[in-house]
Amino acid sequence: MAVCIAIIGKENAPKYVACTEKDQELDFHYKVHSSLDIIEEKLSATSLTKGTDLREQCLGLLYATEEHKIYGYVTNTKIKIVIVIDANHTGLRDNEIRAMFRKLHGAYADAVCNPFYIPGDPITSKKFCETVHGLLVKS
Amino acid sequence: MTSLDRDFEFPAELLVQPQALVGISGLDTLNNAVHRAVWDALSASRRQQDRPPVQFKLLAASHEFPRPKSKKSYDQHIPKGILKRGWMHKHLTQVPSVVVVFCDLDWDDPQWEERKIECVSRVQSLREALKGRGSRVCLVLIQRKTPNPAIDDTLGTERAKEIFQAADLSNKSLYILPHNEHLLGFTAKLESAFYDLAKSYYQHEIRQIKQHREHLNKKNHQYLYVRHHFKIGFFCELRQDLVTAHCHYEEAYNSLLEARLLDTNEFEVKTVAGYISYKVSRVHFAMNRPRDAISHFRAHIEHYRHKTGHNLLLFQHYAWLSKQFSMFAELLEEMAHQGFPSVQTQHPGFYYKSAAKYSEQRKIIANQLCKNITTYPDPDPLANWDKLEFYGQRPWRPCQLSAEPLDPDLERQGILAIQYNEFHNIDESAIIIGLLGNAISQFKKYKCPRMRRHLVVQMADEYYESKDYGKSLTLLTHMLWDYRVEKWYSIVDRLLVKALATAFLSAAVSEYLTLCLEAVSRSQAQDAVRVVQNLVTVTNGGVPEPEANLPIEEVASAQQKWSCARSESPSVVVDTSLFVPPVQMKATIVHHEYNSLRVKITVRSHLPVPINFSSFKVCLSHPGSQHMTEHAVTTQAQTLVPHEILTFFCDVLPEPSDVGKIVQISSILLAIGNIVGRTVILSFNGLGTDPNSTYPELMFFKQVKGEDLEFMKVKPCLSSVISRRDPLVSLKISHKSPALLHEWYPVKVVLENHETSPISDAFLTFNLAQSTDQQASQATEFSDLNSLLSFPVNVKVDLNGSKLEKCFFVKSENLISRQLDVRLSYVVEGHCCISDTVVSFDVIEAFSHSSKYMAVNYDALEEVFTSDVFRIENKVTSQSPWPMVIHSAQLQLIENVKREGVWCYKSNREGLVKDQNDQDWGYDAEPKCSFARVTLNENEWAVDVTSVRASRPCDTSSLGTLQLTWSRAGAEGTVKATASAIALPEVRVLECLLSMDVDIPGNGVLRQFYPVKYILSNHSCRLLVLQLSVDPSENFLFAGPKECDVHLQPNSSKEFEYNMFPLFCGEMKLPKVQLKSADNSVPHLDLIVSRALPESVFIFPQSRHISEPVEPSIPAGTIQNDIQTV
Repeated sequence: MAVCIAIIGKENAPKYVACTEKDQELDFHYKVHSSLDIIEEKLSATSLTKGTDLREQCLGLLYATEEHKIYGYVTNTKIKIVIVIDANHTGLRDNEIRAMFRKLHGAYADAVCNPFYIPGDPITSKKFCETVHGLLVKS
Repeated sequence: MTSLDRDFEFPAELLVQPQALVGISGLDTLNNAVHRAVWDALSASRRQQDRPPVQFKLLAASHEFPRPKSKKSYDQHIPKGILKRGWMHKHLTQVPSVVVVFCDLDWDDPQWEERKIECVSRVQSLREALKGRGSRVCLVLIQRKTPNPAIDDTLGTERAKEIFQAADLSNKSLYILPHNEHLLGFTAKLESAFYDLAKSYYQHEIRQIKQHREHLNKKNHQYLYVRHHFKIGFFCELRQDLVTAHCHYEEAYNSLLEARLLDTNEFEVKTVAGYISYKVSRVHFAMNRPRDAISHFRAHIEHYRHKTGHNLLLFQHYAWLSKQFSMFAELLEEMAHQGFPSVQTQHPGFYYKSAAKYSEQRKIIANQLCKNITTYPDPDPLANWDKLEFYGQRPWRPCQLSAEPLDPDLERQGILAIQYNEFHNIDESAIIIGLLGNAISQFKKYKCPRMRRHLVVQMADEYYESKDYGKSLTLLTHMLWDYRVEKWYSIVDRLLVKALATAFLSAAVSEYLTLCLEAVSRSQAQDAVRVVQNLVTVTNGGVPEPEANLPIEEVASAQQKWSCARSESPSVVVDTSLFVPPVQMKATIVHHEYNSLRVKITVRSHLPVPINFSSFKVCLSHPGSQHMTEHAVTTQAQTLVPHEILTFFCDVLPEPSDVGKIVQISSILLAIGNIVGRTVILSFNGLGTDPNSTYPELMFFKQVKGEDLEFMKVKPCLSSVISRRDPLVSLKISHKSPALLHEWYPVKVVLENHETSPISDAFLTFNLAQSTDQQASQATEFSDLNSLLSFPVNVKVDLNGSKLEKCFFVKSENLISRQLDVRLSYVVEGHCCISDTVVSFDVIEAFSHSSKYMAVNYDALEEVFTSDVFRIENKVTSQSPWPMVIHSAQLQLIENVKREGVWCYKSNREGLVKDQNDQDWGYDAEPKCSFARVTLNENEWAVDVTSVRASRPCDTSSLGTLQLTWSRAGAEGTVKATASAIALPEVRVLECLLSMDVDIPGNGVLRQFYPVKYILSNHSCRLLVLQLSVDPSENFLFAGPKECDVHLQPNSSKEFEYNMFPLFCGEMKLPKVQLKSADNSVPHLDLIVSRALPESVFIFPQSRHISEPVEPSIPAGTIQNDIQTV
């Protein structure tokens, strides 16, 4: 499944980034960060056409490199979720990606509902971490 | 770099859209102006869009064309390579499809025969030169005479026939070019004719190649399949037949895919595959199918990606891949310029990026494989690389197709030579940086700022690798900023480490110090100590310890540089608000009085070790001035102890000019070190906030204790108004609202001085409040007792006494309420004191005025007659709640109205009273004003009646004005009179030709004679003829002319006497008198009569003692008869 999962805040600051391979972590950071370009562009395109009402939260495939495919999802509060999938992993269907995003969105909502969580801080919730790591490929 | 990357360069002729070649012969462009013009017309038109794609080449008379090779049988032929290097070039520039011979020859040329032969011989010799080629030859005759199609030119037809028979040309190969002003039009036609010929030539060539194909077999001639299809494709492109061209290129490419790849041919196949693939993509684009182009390219890369070739030359594979990507990127960019839209996820930048990536791999592998190669083999195995016959072959074994290298030694030498070149002569970093630069500009164009940033970081890394630390550092510091803004600290940390190493290696003092400060808070404990120690070492003028993992030889030279490195400016100022600083500072303004300003500064250090600072200053900015003032907090050097809160106080004496204004702490400067060029100054904004936290206001939810809590509790206060000294002079204002319209409204200012020291520069300032609208501000005047002043009014006052009173006046010309700001300012003991107050008042009408015209009997008049006395009544009613004094009043009449006398009385509601001066009311022959010095209370009125007479008639107009000078009642010096002029109502003055007077007793007695006399006067200078009649009345019996004609002489009068006998008592109407003008020459007769006659007369009853003897009981009915008989 996923090799990297990232939660990015409203102002494009990372809140949580997890990936399977520690030595490639920085590379994933760059990739996720770069994908924000396309998310921003898609968001501005939809806000131009449909106003602020964003019906489709899943932005689908953002871009693909030779090694990875990168998918994006935006919540109503402009929290972005990015999933990086290995390009060789071809058996993944679109609705499976959607399900992953929905699961992550739910887990994120649970994590920030914690009254001791301060908005803007990195997410440290154990439960959230478990959910994310459940979605990452076991290497 | 030399052209050593030559193996991968695409041939130039591959990159252009091929165009049919047409040779031009017989034009002497140097000496012949006509020829020059023809050549210019042909070659200049190349730039125009809708011209046929033909390219012209000027051939000298003795031009030699490449000889065609003799065709051998294909049975025994084994091809020596795939594509010949020279072939495309040859067909684009050397072998023309059409050769055109230009000749100057008119049909009626006197030397026709000789010229004809010369012409024919030129065609013949060209044909000889082109022997073996199918190139078309045609002849163009440049003629001076324009042929006239209307005239049957038999000579022309005949001679043309002669020529093409002699030269053995078809009649379609002879053209006439008349040289006149329509040259461009004729050459355009010629061009398309040439283009048709060229197309037929290329078609012929294609047919020839197709014929060869029948002799080929797949086993031996696989390369020939590729070559032939490529050639056909190329010819089709020359014919602009893109669909067929595409088919053949595709066919060529597919044939090549079938070729078995061996170490010996791998390079050749890949090189040619790259070329053909490029052509395929290009044709796809030309046919407006960009998607197909891209997918073809993808498939191409996918197929060859893993065909790595010889292991020792692996870097060449990556160089090849990189080249494929960069060429495709260039193609895409070229197409984007031509209008193919690119999108954010599919644009040339991605291909440049991949190209850079492969170049990077090339570099890594090259470094691994070639680092031990130190000598170049001799003899040079690459000697004849530029004379190779086929694309992509190795120079040491040209034209050999065997699967195994023939000479293993030579093969080894060749590989060594390539490796040597790769390592010593090729600057891969420059290639990578160039590709990254291209990619960066593309990503910028397609709105991908973050992808661009990543590429910039890669570029910085590449600069670092190539030891260009300066450029690397510049890029890194910019990127640090960008990533820091978006808080991607994982990336920031990595960049920090890199930037710190770069700054160390380039001995950039200011960057190094800045980066150190940022790195302290981002590093692990151990590292942080090292960074701080480096910082201190640098500020002390020493050489810092090198960063980890740096190449040793670089470190040595860097340390050399450090020993004398200095920053450009004497000290490095670091703005700490941009990152998380290792020292936090909060500033609070504690006192902000006019004579003392105190700033409290709370400092807290996160540095892992104590650190000494050399100076500590607060910078204050003052409003209205650009300069800032610096104030030292401490003078002696002190130590910042980690995790301890230090408090400092700074006392500043404010400038008198700052009093009353906002003073702001612009920065707090903490300097470390005091060597010029090695000092770092930390600049704090004084808020002490953590730029890292998104919601500082939520920080209070965090559990903090110890010095964290203590520091958090300090509330920063960076700006405050310097309060003034309290004034000891009281400012009081007395005024009685409401003000009256047009009145000079008195405003009394009372100042009481309780200051003990002498006062100077005391000013009173009046201004309309800012909220006053324009209408009100324009209709307001201000004055003191003597002169008019304009807003803002600034009056100097003398405050040396203990008390001062001053009166000012405001005049309001409309009824809007007003507000005046009053300010007293003065200087005492060098401090400015200010006291403000506001005067607000409403405005009401002062009085109302009414005027009317009356007859002598007080009847209101609509019109007045000349020579008639009438009256003007003016009534002024006070509406002011304050007593109002009319100082003077004057009735100013127009020229032709003269005063007759004045009636005056004063009244209030209760009844008539005598006025203030105890004057009687009544007729006054002297023309003086009755209002003067009258005081009116609210709702009281004063009336002035003036008798006047108009001397001349005039149209409706005002008869004059009433001039009033008035004020509210008050002592001299506290009021100021206002002059108002009130226009009298308009009236018409009619000319009076005839007047009628009535002479009657004031009253009558019942049944006693009542004599009535009517006097008619003619004022005109002509005879008036009138008819007078008196109607009978129930009330009176009368005797006198009942009806008579009256002839009135000029300026004469006549009397008519009547004896009336009243029949009833009470108010009785007199018998009606009527005047008629015989010829209607006298106007307003009815008006004259009605105005002259009294409405009624009062008839008293008879008194007893009189009536009894005189009046026996006579029946009422008989009386009339009696009197009439009298």
